[in-house]
Amino acid sequence: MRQLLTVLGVILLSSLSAAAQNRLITGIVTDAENKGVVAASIEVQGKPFSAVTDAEGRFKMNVPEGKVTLIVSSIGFQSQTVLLQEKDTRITVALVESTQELKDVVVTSFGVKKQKKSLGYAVGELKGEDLTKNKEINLGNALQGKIAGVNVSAPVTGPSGSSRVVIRGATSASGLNQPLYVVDGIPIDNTQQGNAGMWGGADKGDGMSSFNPDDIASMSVLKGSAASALYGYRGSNGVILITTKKGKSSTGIGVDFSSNSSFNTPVSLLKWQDQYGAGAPNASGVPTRFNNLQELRDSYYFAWGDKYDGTPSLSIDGKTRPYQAYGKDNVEKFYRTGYSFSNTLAISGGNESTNFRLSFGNTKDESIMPETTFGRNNVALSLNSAPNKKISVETNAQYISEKSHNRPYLNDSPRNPSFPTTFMTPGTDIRWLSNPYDANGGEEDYLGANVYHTNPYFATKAPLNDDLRKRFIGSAKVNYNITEKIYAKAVIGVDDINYEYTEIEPTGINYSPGGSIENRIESRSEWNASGFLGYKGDIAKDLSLDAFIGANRQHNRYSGIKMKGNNFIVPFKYFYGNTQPDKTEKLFSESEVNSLFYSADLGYKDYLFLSLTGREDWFSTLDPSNNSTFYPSVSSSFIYSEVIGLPEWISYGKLRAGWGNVGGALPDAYALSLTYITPDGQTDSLGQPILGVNGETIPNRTLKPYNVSTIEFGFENTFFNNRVSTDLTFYSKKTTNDITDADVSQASGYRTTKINVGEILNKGVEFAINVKAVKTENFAWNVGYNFAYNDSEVLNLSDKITTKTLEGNRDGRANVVLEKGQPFGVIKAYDYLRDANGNIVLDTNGRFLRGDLIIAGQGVAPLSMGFSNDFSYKNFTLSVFVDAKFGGEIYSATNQLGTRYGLTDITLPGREGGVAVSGTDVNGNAVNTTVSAYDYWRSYSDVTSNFVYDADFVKLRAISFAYNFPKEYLKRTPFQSVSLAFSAHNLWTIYDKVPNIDPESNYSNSNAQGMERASMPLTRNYGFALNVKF
Amino acid sequence: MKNRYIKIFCVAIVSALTLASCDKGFEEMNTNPNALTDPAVKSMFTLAEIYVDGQDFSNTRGNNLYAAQIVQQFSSLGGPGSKYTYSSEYSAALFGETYGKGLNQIFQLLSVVEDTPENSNMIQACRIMKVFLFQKLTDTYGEVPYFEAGKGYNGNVFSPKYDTQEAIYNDLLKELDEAGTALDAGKPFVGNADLYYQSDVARWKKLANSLMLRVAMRLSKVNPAKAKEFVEKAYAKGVFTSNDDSLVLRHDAGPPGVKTNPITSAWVRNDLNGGESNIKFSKTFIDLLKNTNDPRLRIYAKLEATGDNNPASQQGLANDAKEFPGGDKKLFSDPNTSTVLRYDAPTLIMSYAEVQFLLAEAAVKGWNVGGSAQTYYENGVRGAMNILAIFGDKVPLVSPAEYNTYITTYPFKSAGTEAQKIEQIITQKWIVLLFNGFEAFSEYRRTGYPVLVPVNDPTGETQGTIPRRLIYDQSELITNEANYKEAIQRQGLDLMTTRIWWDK
Repeated sequence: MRQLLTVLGVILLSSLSAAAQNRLITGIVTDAENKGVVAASIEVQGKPFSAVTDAEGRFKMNVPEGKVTLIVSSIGFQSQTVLLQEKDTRITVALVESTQELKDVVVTSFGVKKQKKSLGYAVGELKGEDLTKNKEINLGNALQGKIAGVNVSAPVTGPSGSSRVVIRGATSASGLNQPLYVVDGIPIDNTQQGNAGMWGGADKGDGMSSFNPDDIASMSVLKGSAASALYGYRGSNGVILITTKKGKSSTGIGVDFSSNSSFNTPVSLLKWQDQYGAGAPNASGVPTRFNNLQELRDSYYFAWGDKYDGTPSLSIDGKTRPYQAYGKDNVEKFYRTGYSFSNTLAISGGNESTNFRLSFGNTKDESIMPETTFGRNNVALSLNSAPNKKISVETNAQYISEKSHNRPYLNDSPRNPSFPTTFMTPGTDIRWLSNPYDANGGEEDYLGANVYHTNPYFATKAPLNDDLRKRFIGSAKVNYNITEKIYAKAVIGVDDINYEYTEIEPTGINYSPGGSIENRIESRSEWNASGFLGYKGDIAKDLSLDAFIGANRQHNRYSGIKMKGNNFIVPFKYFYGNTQPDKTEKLFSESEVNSLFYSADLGYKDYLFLSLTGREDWFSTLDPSNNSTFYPSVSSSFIYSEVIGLPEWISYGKLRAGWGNVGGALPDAYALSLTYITPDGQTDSLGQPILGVNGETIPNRTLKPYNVSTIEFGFENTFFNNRVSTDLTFYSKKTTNDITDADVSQASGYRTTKINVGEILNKGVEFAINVKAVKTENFAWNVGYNFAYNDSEVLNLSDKITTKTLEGNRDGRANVVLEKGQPFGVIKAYDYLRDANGNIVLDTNGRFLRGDLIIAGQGVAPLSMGFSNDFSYKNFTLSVFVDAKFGGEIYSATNQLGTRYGLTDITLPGREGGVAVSGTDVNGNAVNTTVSAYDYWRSYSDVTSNFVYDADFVKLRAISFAYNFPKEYLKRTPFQSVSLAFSAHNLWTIYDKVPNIDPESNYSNSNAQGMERASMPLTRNYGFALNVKF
Repeated sequence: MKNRYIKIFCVAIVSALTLASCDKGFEEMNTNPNALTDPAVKSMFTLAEIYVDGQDFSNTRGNNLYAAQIVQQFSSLGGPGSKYTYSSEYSAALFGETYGKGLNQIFQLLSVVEDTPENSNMIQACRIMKVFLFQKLTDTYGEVPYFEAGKGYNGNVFSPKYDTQEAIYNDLLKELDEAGTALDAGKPFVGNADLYYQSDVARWKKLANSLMLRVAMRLSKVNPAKAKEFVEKAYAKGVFTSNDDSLVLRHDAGPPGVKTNPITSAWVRNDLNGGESNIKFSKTFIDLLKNTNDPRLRIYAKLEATGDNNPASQQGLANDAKEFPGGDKKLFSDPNTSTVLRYDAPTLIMSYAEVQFLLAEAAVKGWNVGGSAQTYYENGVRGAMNILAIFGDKVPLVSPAEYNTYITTYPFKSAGTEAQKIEQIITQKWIVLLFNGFEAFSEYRRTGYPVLVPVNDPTGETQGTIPRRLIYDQSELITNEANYKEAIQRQGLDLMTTRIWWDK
């Protein structure tokens, strides 16, 4: 009782004393558009006074006498401090939306926001508007050229295709070399569903095609090992952290609507000769005319025949027409103008404790490839609540459904419409093939005896493949502030994917007239659950500590069924039950990784920072006797401009240094020992059970993830009152214990093995500069430029292997390989056969001979850059974006085969009278003779190093022109803002050197970069965008 | 309230931390629930027997498009074997598949089977099957990795050395000799898991000796003395004595794959195309059978589009053809889909007829094989006709009367020169080796028979001469460069025209 009295007394006294010293103030809190912010909180720094704004954003509160500092904050806005003078009684505070806060605060590992100045490593950032300005439907591709050191290349298959994003050079010979993507703190799946390889195939997309750029608030790119060290074994290729848009407290419901539509046109770069028709020369090399339709069709791609002379002659469709060139615009005639529509509607709102954002996005894309379509629906919900100061809850959920039809087959000829379209002799107008059916509805043999060449119209009109991916990505975070300085956090997240895939060889297709169907149904999920215990505050005068310990459990499960059936019983009815079943396969794997980690950031006087992290990972897929690895990092930042007196024109200066050790390429489940399995899913032969060795890889029990350590130094400066900012980084990144997925001689019984012996070094420099060149009331001009140079070297593959093939060209004439002492992914192609003195050796007929495989280039350009210019005048903005790559090469099988087939214009010289050659014969005697153009160019095409081209380019990648309707126009409308934009992609290749193809025509997004063959044409887009806010 | 939150959190965090370091259950999780870690050896043995015949991949590419077209059993307009062009994929198919499937299966099986008397017969059978596979490899390419081959998993030899053919042949003969002797009917075998002979050890012994006959005879050009020694030895040890001994591997009717006939499956499934196939019987083959009124023609061939197997209607495609004469593919003969061109058509891995022809040749050379050339020749022809019964009776079998007419009309040329006799024997062998183009190709190179007219096509790479080997798998240039180059150094350039050791 006495105690109670004492307490009451104290309360009474303190309230009395407070009343004596207070004054009343009133104010209003607004957003950038001058509207009141509801439920903003106003606190007096260091004193227990606070208030909350009403529906109009107004507040009233008592504050102590004298100067006081108010802290005004609201969810979705950057908090702001306001100094209140002794006599102030009314104030207006304009809050800035928190997306702009990102300039100074960046999202780092596990979604922890840190002050940019405290970081000892480079972090690249992109904001939502950077992604939507020139919208790429595929988020991965949107990164192209935007961030120094982030190298993006995408196959030319459109938005449903996959993108290749490599940060600071590839780290592993066998790993994917793609970054880890983390959405709202949850690692997500970016499995490449299928790639075009040596034997063709379609690019079946990756995990990044799921995301709607309109839902993205920001992306942070953790480039080096120090930045990504907390992701341990997953950090080797950097991490891309994606933060989705959240709701914010506002006076009503906000509605955002954005609509984009674009037209995509094919751009042919083929410049074939138009003088000689289909056929082969006779034995003496004299061009001959085909004798009948069969001969013409058999040589539809083989332009070594007779010269066009306008006389009546058979055409490929059996009609008679003048013998001349008709095929000049075959590419434009075959491909179509595609279009993309994408619309996003988002509703957001909130009150003092809770906010939400709900969005619905729909994307529809028709490729330039006839019949190829892609559609995507996105629903995203973000719901956040902070009922009191102690606890906050954040939940994000996305449901995505993606549907693709007839993803185009690339490279090899079966079902690949681009192959015959590319290699059609000039005497044929591709449209003559447009009724591709024979009497039975199968494929008519327009393309002659080689059944593996598919009529492009047959290949596009028939159903070839369909896929449907349904995906749920969800996360929930609970943060509890145990004390002011100590907090606990729990996070759980899931990425759950259901995937259905159907691949069809249609009835009547020439190489497999019975047809076949393959159905694949897969589910793939990753769960992550983690807990954190953290401390954030000052531990001594001028010394702050931001630290946590945590644990994570990652569980991955993959399960599926693959069924194949052949020979449709009722033709043209494409379902599995209508086939002779061939093979059913169960797909399954399950694995887990457990981790413990810590992070400690020390700050001294706000200008010197030190950060230490560590993480230990335990893997279920490794040998239990040796299944864990430790990944540490240390980094430091020093704001020297705060300490050293600098000239006035230097506004800010920071030095940073970081080192970290991370891992990559976790060995697959079940890869420790040899297993046995029924071959091809067949369990018996003649009633006797059969069993074979499982797989073509030699198992290795001691396999571990490879290691990457990066050391980096950086300088960040701003000049002239922050008008100019620069960021310069040097790094050296070394991979050790790389898992060499080494090709072994097939005579060993296997094709590959995996060993931890590879070493790869990447060294480079990154530079970015941003200049606010002009800034007046009506006109502004901002310039951004970044470049990155990465020098890679394969230091070691293994003591037994010095070369590893990443990909062979389909025709066996060139390879992309890793070779000790060479940059990552060099192109090896055949040289001329030469004698000891380097003279070219000719065969007895004067033809060239194939010599050694030589290194003829590198597939990845070491130097890449982006250059952006943004102009704004009153309500108009113009953005121009140019990107460029230098130093890479590409092997063009289009040019090689085009030459072999007599299609390229270089094969014209010598068609009459032959080509003079000189060299030596196999015995070393000088040879001077004349050979037919046919022999000359065909043997020239065997020397494939002639077709490795410098792939440098400078492209006007995107240009956009936007108009924001002035506010006064909108006063009488329900709209808060309306903007209209026009944009164009791939408008102009300013510089390139490769004939007949685009220098970026890689068919694959694997590690084997630098291979091209019968590519789809370059796509040029013109788009309109409308953005409306209610 | 506050305390409860704290409690929940602390429990959550602590349990997360504890769980993380714990890896209990990892080993269980990492055991593949969909594969076996310990093999069932009998089932592995069964599959090894199937693999001896090669799979669809190598047979379609290496046999049907290369070897069998080089020896003009089959033909196609753009066939690399018809026109002597180089296709890296087709040329390499046998190399990768033989090492990766057949040999790897046998080597792995041998590595898990303990060398005990109980397993002895299985081990000897594996040694014999290994000889089948290695001989086909070395005959096709020349020098190949032998002594260090197949040790990728058991021994970590990733780049095995190439061995000279002489060393390989010496070991093949030794293996057959030892294995044939060691086979013991008193020891257990694998029961019905042996698809070849249902564990009849006596017939396995004959197989070992018959194969020794084939291997030894291959040396007739390079080392006649050694050939003679081992031919006589094989004969003495006991070879096939009737068609019951012929090594016939039966197949299931589907689904196409490992269970079905590896030579014809892709043909039936993809290439046949209702008689509009691009691959047809060669004119050389059809003409020979037609001109001799060979009763086998109706069983081997028919026009798929019409079902017509009347010998008079049969027409082969010339190997040098640049187009189908007349333009209608349907008028050219396909292998008969009622008999030989079926998923479940048996494969004739080694026939009694072939053994008789080997003995006939030995007799012609005057070697001691216990009988006359004529008898062996006639046994061979009769055996080759009668063995067609394995393809079923949908087409009438060759009757004894038909055989008699044939052998009377075309009797053994007892009075002819040695060359004429050998030509006659090998030409007959070439017929029974239909669908075994690899063996026919080897025998052609050894003997020069049957007489073939070379094709001189501008796309060819041999200047109009018949190839003497196939080009190695070019991946060896990368994965096994030093050893590959050493082999080339010894053997000659990696060209189709380079003659291998026993063909010099």
